[in-house]
Amino acid sequence: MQPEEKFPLSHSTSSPSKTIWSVGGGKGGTGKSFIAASLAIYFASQKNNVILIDADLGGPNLHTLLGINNSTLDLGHFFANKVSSLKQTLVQTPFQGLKLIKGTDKIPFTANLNYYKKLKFIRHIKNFEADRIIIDIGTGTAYNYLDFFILSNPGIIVINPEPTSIENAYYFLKSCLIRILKSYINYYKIQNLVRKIADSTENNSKSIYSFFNAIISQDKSYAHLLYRALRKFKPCLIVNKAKTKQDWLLGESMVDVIQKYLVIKAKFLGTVPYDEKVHLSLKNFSSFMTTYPDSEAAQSIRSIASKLSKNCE
Amino acid sequence: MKGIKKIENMDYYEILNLTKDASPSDIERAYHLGKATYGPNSLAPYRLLSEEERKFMLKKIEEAYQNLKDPEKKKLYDLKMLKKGPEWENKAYFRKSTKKLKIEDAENHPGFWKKIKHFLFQPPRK
Repeated sequence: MQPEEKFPLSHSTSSPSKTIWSVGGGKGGTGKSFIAASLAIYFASQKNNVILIDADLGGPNLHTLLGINNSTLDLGHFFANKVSSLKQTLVQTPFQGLKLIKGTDKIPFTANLNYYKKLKFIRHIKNFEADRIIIDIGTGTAYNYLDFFILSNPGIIVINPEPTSIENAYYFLKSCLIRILKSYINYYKIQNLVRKIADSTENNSKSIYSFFNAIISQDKSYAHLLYRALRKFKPCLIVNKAKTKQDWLLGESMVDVIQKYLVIKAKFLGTVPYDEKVHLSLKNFSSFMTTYPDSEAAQSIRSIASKLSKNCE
Repeated sequence: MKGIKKIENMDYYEILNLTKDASPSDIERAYHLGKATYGPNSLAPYRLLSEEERKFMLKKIEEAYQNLKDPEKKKLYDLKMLKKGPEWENKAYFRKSTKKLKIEDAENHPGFWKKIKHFLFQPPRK
């Protein structure tokens, strides 16, 4: 009997008029917050209602990037049940059309979010009325960050042309894959099937091919189900701080490698060149997109934003 | 399941991420991108591919390019792919082979065909 297909991690419930993008990647310092803030500022300037959420629970920075220094309600208040609705933590930014939900720097240990608070958080995000919702998620592969990433359509990975960043990006993607497969396996209660496969998998290879070939031989319908679940996961990739000609080819190269070896259909959005002015704008507490709108980096971000919009139409 | 293929089972178009109507410039571009992706100085395969896998991929890319850049070789390859046919799943689970059945394979029932002919060609009842 064909198993009925339902998504345990529902990542396709956004209405056509609302999109949820997460900006993540696994490694710190790649420019996720900068990209998230820049995209949000750009979309707000195009007369969209944008909500930017700082879900970097261990180290929020978006309020600094947007020039919000006063003390306001933040995510910590929501998780500590000091406010009933996430909407109460929305803060107007200096940019028309753009509102921010600050990460907390007052209430400690917010990063250790439990399952129910995470579900509540996701539910409230989905109820927002906004054209674009951009979530800046933290570094690492904690379940919370993986779930925020998988929830969005699409998730955006920001990498730098450095071995450490690339390595962490692949690790992050593999973690997302396993998280998706595991959630479907638990939902359809086919753990026994998977355990049987793990015992018989050729040479104990944990590759995606071996896993699916083994499942196909046991139960084709579940193999199709898991395969379709994976195919719905379509992350996007941005290369930030590119300097050389090789750096500019990195994005397309990585998409090819990811498709062939991780069986994920990733999409390359664009490359943002390294620009010293980004550091200058940070030090001066000014927005890069509005202070240096004609710079090559700003033009790249606008081109990326345009591709993102088309991706969602 | 289309997409779950090992590298060694991919065709040349899949290796170079091309469609069958790819132009010579598309093939050229795909080849150079492939070489840049899996070349020794590339960061893209870092920690995901072993050195052996990387070299194997480079070899496949070269092979794909040599066969697709020449219009005559490409034509022959396309014909070979066409003869091979689509990858249909074998739904005939009761049969071990999908080769065409010959009449000799049928079991011998004496008078069977006589009965069938009589049934098919019996005159209609008035």
